[in-house]
Amino acid sequence: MDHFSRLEGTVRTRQLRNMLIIRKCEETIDRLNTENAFHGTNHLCMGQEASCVGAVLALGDEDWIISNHRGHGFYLARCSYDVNRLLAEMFGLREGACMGLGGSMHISDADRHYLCSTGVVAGGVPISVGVAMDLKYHSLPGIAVSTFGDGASNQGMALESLNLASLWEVPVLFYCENNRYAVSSPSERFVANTTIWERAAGFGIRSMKVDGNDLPAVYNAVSQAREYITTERRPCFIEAETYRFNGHSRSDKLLYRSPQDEEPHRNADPILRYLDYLKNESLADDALMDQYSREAQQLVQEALGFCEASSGPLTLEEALSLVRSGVSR
Amino acid sequence: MKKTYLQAVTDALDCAMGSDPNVVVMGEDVGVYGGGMGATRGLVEKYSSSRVIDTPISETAFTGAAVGCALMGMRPVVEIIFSDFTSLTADPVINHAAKYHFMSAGTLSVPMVIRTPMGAGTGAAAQHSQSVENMYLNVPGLVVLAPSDAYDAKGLLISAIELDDPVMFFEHKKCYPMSSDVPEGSYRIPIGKADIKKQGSDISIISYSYMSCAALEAAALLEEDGISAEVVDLRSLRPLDTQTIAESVGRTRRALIVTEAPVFGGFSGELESVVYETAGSSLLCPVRRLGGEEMPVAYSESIEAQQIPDAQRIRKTVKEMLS
Repeated sequence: MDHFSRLEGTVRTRQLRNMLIIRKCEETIDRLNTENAFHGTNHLCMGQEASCVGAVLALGDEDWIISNHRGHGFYLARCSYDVNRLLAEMFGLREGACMGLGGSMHISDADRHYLCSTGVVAGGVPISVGVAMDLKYHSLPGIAVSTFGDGASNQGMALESLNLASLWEVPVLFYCENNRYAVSSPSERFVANTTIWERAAGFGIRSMKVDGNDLPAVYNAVSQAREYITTERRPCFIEAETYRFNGHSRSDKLLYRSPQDEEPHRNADPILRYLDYLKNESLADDALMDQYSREAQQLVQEALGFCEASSGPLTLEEALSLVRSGVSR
Repeated sequence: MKKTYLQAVTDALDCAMGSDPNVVVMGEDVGVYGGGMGATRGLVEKYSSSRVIDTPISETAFTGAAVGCALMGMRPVVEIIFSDFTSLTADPVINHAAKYHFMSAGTLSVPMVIRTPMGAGTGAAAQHSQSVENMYLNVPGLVVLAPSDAYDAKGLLISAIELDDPVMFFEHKKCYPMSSDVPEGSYRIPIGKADIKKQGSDISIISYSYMSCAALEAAALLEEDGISAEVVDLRSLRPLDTQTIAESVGRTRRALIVTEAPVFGGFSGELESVVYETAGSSLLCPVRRLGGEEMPVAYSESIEAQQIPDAQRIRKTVKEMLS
């Protein structure tokens, strides 16, 4: 079912701008990495913008995202493209999404239902089952969405979680972004039977594969999955095939693939593909693309200014006060 | 009313579930079977299978799921049938439950309890008899509790379930059949407070869990030897009640630390440091430590009995210290 074409034209064009905000943000981080501007590492999602923007667009406010270490795109898409709080977090500042205590890999914003993210590959998958348990237990609307990569699909806890979710019939969407690499390991060498989505079928979970670089296709797949989960109260699994433009993290020298390997994927840039879609629909042209690019870059520049004006990091004493809540109820 | 330690645990779960619908019990065989040791017996009949949740043998995933529902405001009490198997829950507990409050700058909390039977003495051998609490003590963000009697087990478990932080709750297999007075209804033992189980003036024996029972037995024997031993039962390992330790050793001026875990790299070294740092100048003799032998727990009954401290070894060590 083509839900996407039924969206208002303005909503559809806005997604081009949204993808560009993520792209410009990641490009800026990539540049700042070469200047060692950040204290710690980070994992960029350039090339995967359609996968996160399309998926989040299909979710409701009542849904919950449990993300992973490559989570900037999902964070921005879920949290009103709040570049300020993302960059401030990466600079370790008190204005950051987690006051500089979490960092790039561990961002959470529970108010906006971006519940948490994890730096442990597959660590969020069982957590998402628990979130879905809570929704079912309290008869709440909404679903839990676990985002993870092809690497996580090899972790025992991910496979155990599929079993639990199927047994317990909880409303969770397992959203696997297969970006073809787990650090340096290509999926074809490290994932037995590379059709990851079929693993879920083995647990009795409805599963499907989608072109993760095709924003309308992602939106349609997630909409369909969400409809299935909310009506059937059963889990669902999507494998979104995409491509990680950058290395795994800022220290990755990309020794395991060549520019020739990358070229066809870069040529299939999800943003350019989406621009083509909008042009075909007479919703955008090159001038609009230029305008959105400038606006996105401007937003990132303003965020850097926001960080410069920061009052700095928390004190050690403030951080120590946040180790445990100590509250009883 | 006299109740066993096992019944006290069941009582605590019953009280907590009765007063808060967000409390659920999860684990392998916790339903009709009644839990690995019998601690959840009767709960599924009273609270239904939606609150007493039988899980497959998937410790990592169901403990991770418990973290997820705790982040949402539920209060899962997870049973891991032997504390040895908490190795399988290490990622959700250490990397997630213990970290989310901090990593979210206090916006998230993880109110969950892992209940798990620890210790040797039952012939369960090397993979079902360890004292792994040491491993969790070096993880800021976790609370670690290990009660030694039925009264404390109930009151501490209720406090643990009501706390907004993740708790590792170690129950001792040898304590389960032991009885003491346990009041009906809810009551709370404060977390972070040690209890002096027997007062004495010549030496402080500092211990927790079943070793506090062995220390009490030794203290009774030592009375016959004309030695007055004080037994400090820690109950809460983290946070640790350093004040009670300091005050007790300040009075008795001698300290023996007894743990079931081997001493090397373990909690007894931390306790020894606390004694020296807080009461070192008052000591009449060096602190001694007794712990399990530096070996896995053997199956053979005679070896198992020799490798873990008992009342006689504690008595002998105390007498050496006072000679």
